Amino acid sequence: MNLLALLSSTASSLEAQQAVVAVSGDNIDNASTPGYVQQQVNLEEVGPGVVVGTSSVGSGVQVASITQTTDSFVEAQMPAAFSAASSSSAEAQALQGVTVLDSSSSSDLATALGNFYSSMEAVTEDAGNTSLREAAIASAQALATSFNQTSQGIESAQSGIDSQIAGQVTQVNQLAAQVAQLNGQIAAAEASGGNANSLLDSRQTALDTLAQLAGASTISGQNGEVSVVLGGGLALVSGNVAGSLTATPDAANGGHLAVGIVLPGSSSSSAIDPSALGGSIGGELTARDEVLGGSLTSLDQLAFDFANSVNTVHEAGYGLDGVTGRALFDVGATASGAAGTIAVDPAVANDPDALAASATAAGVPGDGSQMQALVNTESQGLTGGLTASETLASLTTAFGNAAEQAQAVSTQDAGMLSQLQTTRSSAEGVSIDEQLINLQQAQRAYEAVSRVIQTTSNLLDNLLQLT
Amino acid sequence: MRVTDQMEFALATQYDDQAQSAVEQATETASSGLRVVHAWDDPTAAGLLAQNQVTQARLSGIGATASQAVDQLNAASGALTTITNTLTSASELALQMSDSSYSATQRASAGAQIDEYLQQIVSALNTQVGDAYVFGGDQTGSAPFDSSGNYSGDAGVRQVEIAPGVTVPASVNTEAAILGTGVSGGVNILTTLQNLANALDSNDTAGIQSAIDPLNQGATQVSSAQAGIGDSQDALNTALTANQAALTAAQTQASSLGDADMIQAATNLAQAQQALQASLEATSQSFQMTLLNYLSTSTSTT
Repeated sequence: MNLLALLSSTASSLEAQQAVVAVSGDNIDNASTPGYVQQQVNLEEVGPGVVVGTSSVGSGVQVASITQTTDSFVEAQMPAAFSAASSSSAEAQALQGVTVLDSSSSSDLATALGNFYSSMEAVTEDAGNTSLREAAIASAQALATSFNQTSQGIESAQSGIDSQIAGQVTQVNQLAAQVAQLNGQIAAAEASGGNANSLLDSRQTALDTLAQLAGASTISGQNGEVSVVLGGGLALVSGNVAGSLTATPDAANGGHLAVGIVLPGSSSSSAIDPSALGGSIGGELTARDEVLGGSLTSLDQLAFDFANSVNTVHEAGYGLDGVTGRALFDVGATASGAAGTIAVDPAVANDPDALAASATAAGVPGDGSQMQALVNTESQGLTGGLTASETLASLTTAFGNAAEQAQAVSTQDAGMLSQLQTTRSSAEGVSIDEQLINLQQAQRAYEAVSRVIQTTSNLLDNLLQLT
Repeated sequence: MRVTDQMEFALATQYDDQAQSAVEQATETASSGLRVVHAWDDPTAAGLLAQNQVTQARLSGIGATASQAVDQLNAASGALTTITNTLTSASELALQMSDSSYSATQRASAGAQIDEYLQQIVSALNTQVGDAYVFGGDQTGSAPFDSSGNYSGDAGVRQVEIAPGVTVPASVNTEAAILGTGVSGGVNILTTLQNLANALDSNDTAGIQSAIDPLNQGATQVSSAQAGIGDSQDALNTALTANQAALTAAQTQASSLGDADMIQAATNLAQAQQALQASLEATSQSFQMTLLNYLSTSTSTT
């Protein structure tokens, strides 16, 4: 038995225990660091070094590797979970920011619509009364303003989403560039046999955020590199080359931002089908174009149909000045943008006498029968077959359903993500209790090895005294 | 399951946030008294509430217009009562003055009295409610009768909608009721009075006598118009009652759709507060259960 060899082997054992302490310390330090994956020291026995009789004794312990406790099964599910949860959450938040369709809203369209018919009704009772005419015109203006404000409220929400998308596209591009750079660094580190764990943590954090922002997923490549792809297989990062997203105003969509992509290695941008984008950008696009866009289209159609229905009757009537053919509302030639621009025709707005309450030119103010016919449009179906108030109710319900559904899906997606994150944290996170036990274990091993050194040293001393 | 520190803190944050959010929501419902504030709170109810708001505004409008019409009809009825009484007095005076015992001077004095009656009737016929002259037909913006009794209004009878699609007359056909136009055997009350006054002034006994029947007929004509007003008043009052009932029903429906059950809201709030307290206590307890605490304790003990 070689005592000096024994001393030598204890040195590597001490180093190994020191590594355990160092890694546990690092784990404890980073227990709260987002994206940090617990590391573990993999120890291995040093091969047979001392032969005792017919048997051999190992030469202590050494550090085989320091690895991360990554759970690849969970990791494979994370991008989709991040994407879905961010998408539905962003959609729900965007929709719940729209309050112009609330019954308590200052632009309360329903009350304005009811007041319009009521004040027109009052004119039927005394068609020549200037005060009633002024009140009726004021209620028509209030209704037009209510349409305008509701439209502006929805458009304002859409514009707010545009601002968010612009910021998020910038963030996506920064992260894509970061992932490409980290890909290169990781490949270099792994090629040189180094430890790339901290680089992997940084990249994973960036990839998680990319999944949350744009629904990006990853494809593993060689040398530890990953490619980042969006829906439809559009590459955002390929190796150490990053592409980028673009956000440019789309004239065909009311000037709202359209998201495009510059593929890695390319210099030109091409349009992306919104369905290829997940994450918060995808959810915001859904909220902006499908739900709010749909609500705005319905509102425009309501304003257009309502105004034309009223105008048809009003144009057939006669004002106190005996003039006929005047429209009550200016609403434009098409439904597009009608809710935002509808206004009382200036000829009527500036002259109460122009309100056409009489069915005949003779004997104006007349009996108000034309105004009664105008009031009766309340119960007549518009182009969609529903009355104005039914259309408004339908619009409100449709928006409410979309927002409620988005919230329900968001809650469900958040629950699934939370479950996965818990599983991920359970597999990859740091347990301080566990690390303290590891520390105690390493400390005890270190003390024991020290005792081996002391014993070996005593044996050597004894041996030296004999000589 | 392996429990990590980050997991422990994340779950504590999540559960506490959820409990806090539930308290917030329950507090909002309990304090506002509303179950449906936003369209997504209950989309179907929100849609019905929008329709209900239109209905309430319409019913309020119909009610206000009907009330205005009732006021005008009441004023018209009062004026017609005055006219009927005046005509009766004029008829009695004519009968009295047709007696041969009265002198020309006395008849001239009676003629002056009839002139006063005429002005009283003209004044009654120019009755206003607000800015509207109730006997002007559709021409409500100016006095329908001048001091000579010339009519500048028309035969229009204003209609008021008492329910969607249902209208009742809200004014008198003055041409028929006062001028006798279009009425079988109708008399022009004002002309008749003027003729009587002239006959009295000119001491024309035959003229005086010939005015008596038309005056009585005029009184009947006015009473008939008043009866029509009474019918409209009844219809409007019935409609107002029905309108108020419909408005109350609409308000009740709105309340049942959008208002919170306060007992339920208070219970939910109490439950949410209790859940938050339990969550916070559990979090506090779990944070204390760490090996670090025991190791620190054992180190300080030794």
